[in-house]
Parts: sequence; structure tokens; C-alpha cells
Amino acid sequence: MPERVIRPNPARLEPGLGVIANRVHSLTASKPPAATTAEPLGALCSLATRSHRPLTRLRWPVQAGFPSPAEDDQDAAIDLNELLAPHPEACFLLRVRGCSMVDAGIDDGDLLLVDRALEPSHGRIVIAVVDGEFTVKRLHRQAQVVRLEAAHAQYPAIELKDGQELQVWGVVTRVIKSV
Amino acid sequence: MPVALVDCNSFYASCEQVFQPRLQGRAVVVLSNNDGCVVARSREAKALGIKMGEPWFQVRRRLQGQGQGQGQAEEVTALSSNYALYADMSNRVMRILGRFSPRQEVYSIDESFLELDGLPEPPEVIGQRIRSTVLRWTGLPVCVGIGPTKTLAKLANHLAKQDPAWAGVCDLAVLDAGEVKRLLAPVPVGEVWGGGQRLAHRLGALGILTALDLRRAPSKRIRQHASVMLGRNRLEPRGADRSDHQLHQPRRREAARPAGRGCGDHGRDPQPCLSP
Ligand SMILES: [Mg+2]
Repeated sequence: MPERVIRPNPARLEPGLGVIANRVHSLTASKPPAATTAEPLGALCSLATRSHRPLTRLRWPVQAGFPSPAEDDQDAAIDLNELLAPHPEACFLLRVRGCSMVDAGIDDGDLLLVDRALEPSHGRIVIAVVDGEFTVKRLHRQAQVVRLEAAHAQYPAIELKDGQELQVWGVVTRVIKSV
Repeated sequence: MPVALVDCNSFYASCEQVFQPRLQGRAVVVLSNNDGCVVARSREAKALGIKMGEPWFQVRRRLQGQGQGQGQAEEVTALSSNYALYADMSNRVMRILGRFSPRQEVYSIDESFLELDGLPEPPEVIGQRIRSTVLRWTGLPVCVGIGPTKTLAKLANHLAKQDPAWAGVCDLAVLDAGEVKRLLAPVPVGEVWGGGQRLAHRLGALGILTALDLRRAPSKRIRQHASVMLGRNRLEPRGADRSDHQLHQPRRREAARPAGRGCGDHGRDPQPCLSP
């Protein structure tokens, strides 16, 4: 497990869309899996693991109404893996579903780059496992208080009680948007 | 010159659990291509007595039968195999392991040998660090077996898996010869070299039934009768044959780790590179 801190309150999150779409065949269970009533928390859904093929190399500059800072370096190719994923073995992409993190610039449909090698410290945006589901929230961890904060006025923080455990799955380092 | 064998626990099932956290701590099996047979079992699925290679319909029938008898069926989640995912996770694990030693032999999708000599720390400490790094970076649990040869590293790994007291890392060097014998005596060869049922029979015909028999057997005799798999793994050489110490390192491993990136942004390769 990555770091275990304190476990949050149960909160139902929306179910995954899974790029890794394994069919679940059957639960030989007397009780069916709990129905996941989707709450519009900023839950993370689908996920794609990175391939180790280098990403397409890009070339600067892209003119956007101001001089590119890279103009002196026109021939330098950029390897997005090197640029974005310093620990390629520990970096994963996940897709956001929900809007509880919009005030942190994370919107529904965005891709998140998640680095599991980083320490989940106070103030970082993390992927946490809440009630068996991924969720993206800002980690507050100071003076014995641990909570997962949303970045949207309508979503209360998930407070952690004494003895409850929170599993932080990874630390979000980049947000990738379609424009 | 210690050799480590690092082997992922319940590899396919563990890969699934990383991305479906609700399956952590639950009985999970992964089925073969046509969803016919069980090809991987989580620890909890093993505890239910589900066997490797067992047809899924049979497992389901048996567990349902038990459920009727006892009021509640055991809960098992069966998943189609997703080899693209397992290959990706395997690559990650192998590259992490490559940070710990410049001499690495990838042995299977979830196993790799590493030479641990010339490294700054005791093998057992490195083993624990390998374990925690792979777990943290990928979410996958591994066990580490350490011994003077590849065969003994494989056996040590088997012991580490069987007995939680090892905390995932078994270094045979910490045991005296008598203890090694006592531990190896009851271990069937077929269990260590999983899937080698035919091989186990052929070795059985030579009187080699357990890991201890195997250790005592002259390597030439084994070489004549064993498959390539065991041939690559046989015990300490008697005489000048040293191939049990040597790791097979295909060139493509090096190609996969471009110069200057062997240790990510730390540039400390081949030293283990641990904290980000
Ligand atoms: Mg394994």
C-alpha cells in the first residue's frame, strides 16, 4: 500500500468507467455488491496505464501571442515522458469524473498524472481510496487533523475520525485538459 | 555472491486489485483467455481452496454448494485476463528492480533475478527496500529470496512466500546448514518450479522429490534429465560450472534503459534509488 493515514467517512462515489474494462463475471455472493449510487463528488474513474514507448516528441514553439521562451532552442525535441513523469515506473494516468475539484482547476473529463513515488504531504492533491473507490481531493494533514478537502463550495470536506484509516494511492502532479 | 529472486505475489490478481481498490483483501481470481480456467488467485482465493488451472464453472459450483450448506456462499470475484495491463505492470516492476542492481535477469513476467554483490548494504536490507519500493511505486506486493545461487534464491523465495515470519524477504545466509536442510526437506520440487509437473515426475524417477534432494543431486545428472527451466536454475555447480551464478541478461534490457535515465532524475544507477 502506499501510505496509510486515517480512514475517511464512508461516502459513495460514482462508479468507474474503466479503460481497463474487465468484465466481472460473477459474485457467488449471497449479498449483491452494494449499489453505487453516484454522488457527484470529484471521483476518479477511468484509468490508463502508461506505455513505456516514448511519447511523440513535440517541437517548440507554439505561438500564442507572445514570444516563446524556447525560441533559442528550436531544435530541441521534448520528451513528454521526461518532462512530465520523473518516475516513469510510478506514474499513472487517471480520468476525472465529477466536479468537486473545479476550483483547483480540475474539471470533469480531465486526465490526471499521478506519481506514486511522491510523499503525500499536507496541501497536495491526492488520489485517495475512500470506501473502495478512487477519489481526488486535497489532503489536509496538520496538527493531528487529517481530512480530504474538495475544491468546490458545495462539497464538504471528508473528515477523518480517530482510528480511521485513509489510503493515499498517489499524488497528482499534472492536469491534462482538452481545449 | 548473493543472488536475489524477486517474485510478485499473485501477480495478475494483484494487478487487478491495484486499480480496483474495492477488491483489496477480497477473493479474486483471474481467468484464462476464454474465461475457462483460473490462472491467478489472490491470497484470499487461495485460502478458499481454489486451485491453479481449475475450471471456473467447477469453482463456482463448489462454492455455491458450500454456500447452500452453510447459509452463506463465499464471495469470489472472477475477472477476464487483461494481459496488456499485466505486461505494463511487469515492465514497471522490472525497471524498478533494475535500479537496485546493474546485473538483472528477467526470468518471467513477474520474476527477476538480481545479483546483489558489491552493493553498499546487506542483502536483506536491500531486499526489504526492494519490497517497499515496488509496493509503493506500483502497489504490487513482492517476495524476495536470497541465496548463493539462482536455485537457492528461488527456494528462498518459496520459503518467504510460505512463512510470513520472513516479512517477505528470506536470506538463506542467515541460516546455518542444518536449518537450510530442515526447511528444504519438505518442499516438493514441483511446488517451487510451478507448472513443472512433468519435470517433477522425471526428477521423481531419479529420486529427486524435494528441494533438499535437488540440492544434493549432482548437477550433471540433473542437466541430463531436466527441462530447460530447471537447467537454467540448477544447484551449486560441482566443479567449474558456474552458470548457476550467472544471470542471463538479454541486450534489450539495456536498450530499454537509455543512458542517463537508468535512475530517473537521480542519476545514481546502479545504486538503488529510493526516495523521490
Ligand atoms: Mg509470482
